[in-house]
Amino acid sequence: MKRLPAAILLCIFWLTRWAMGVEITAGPTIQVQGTAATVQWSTDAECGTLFKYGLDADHLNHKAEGKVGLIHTVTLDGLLDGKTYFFSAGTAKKSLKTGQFTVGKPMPAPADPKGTPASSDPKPAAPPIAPAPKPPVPRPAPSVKPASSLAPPTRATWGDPSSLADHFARHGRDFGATSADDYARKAWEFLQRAIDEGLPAKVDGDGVIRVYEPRTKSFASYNKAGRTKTFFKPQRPDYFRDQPGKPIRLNRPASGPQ
Amino acid sequence: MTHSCPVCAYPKPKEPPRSASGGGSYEICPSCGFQFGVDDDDKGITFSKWRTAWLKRGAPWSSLGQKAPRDWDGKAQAASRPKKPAAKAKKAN
Repeated sequence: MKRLPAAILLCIFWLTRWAMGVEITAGPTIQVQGTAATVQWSTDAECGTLFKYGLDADHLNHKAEGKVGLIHTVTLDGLLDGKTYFFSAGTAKKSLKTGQFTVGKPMPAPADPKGTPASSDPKPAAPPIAPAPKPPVPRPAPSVKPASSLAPPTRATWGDPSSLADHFARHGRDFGATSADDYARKAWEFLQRAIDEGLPAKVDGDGVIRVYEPRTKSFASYNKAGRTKTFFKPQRPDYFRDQPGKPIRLNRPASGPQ
Repeated sequence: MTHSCPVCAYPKPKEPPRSASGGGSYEICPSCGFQFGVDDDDKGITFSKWRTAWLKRGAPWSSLGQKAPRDWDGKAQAASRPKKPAAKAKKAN
């Protein structure tokens, strides 16, 4: 059997993907604070962010737009207390989910994640036992070599693509990451800095690399291919010390940074 | 060898929660949201405590990037977790 050229196979893949369309995988979650609200949802493919809302379901006369990506976040302002707003979340081309929310009213129980387009719930971003989510605090970007223009695409630096959204939701704020891709890029840059500056690093019997930067209290783990497993700031000062592995000095592979 | 989440019994984590070297996998369970190597090693949260809090919230699907399986039921999944045999009472001398 003759092999189909790779280009034809790629075309078939993207046409199939396009035909299936983008879907929301979680949310929208709506966290109302006073007269403002933060709305967040995720999709199974990168797409634009458009949230339309209004007091009349047939006239969604307000809109909030965001960036292209997998995680979509918008901020709403000027909401009226006690009022019920109807919304449509999706892209400029397609509405993916509709629903309603009321300002100042306790939200109902979490909806089925498969998603009826029901009213959304303020699903907390924090884990169940942790305290209330910290408000976003702008952090100065760490002083790193300007490697962002050299950073490989996320699919080349993050170990498990399906996990990135969850790691970003949990840890992205620690690094001032503005998107999941930005978070993945920062994790890659951290590895480059670890190599360049000789940051404390370990490797265990499975080839898993662990790196810690005492100055910023940043920790990252990479698989044996050099792809990121996680990137976060541990609370315990002895966290890195207690992780398994032998101390190593990281070197850049001959083929270049991974 | 198959492995499941020790918190919620989710049957398809990508890696064993802890590797042969003893380190956490750093995987975030898409079902209950527990991150191995972080919530335990850094925050000191036990599987039991996390499970209790998760069940109390209604056992919702946690992942933003992965869809819940069709007809997924978190509570039923957690109930399928293998139970440890009760410790035998010591005989009094």
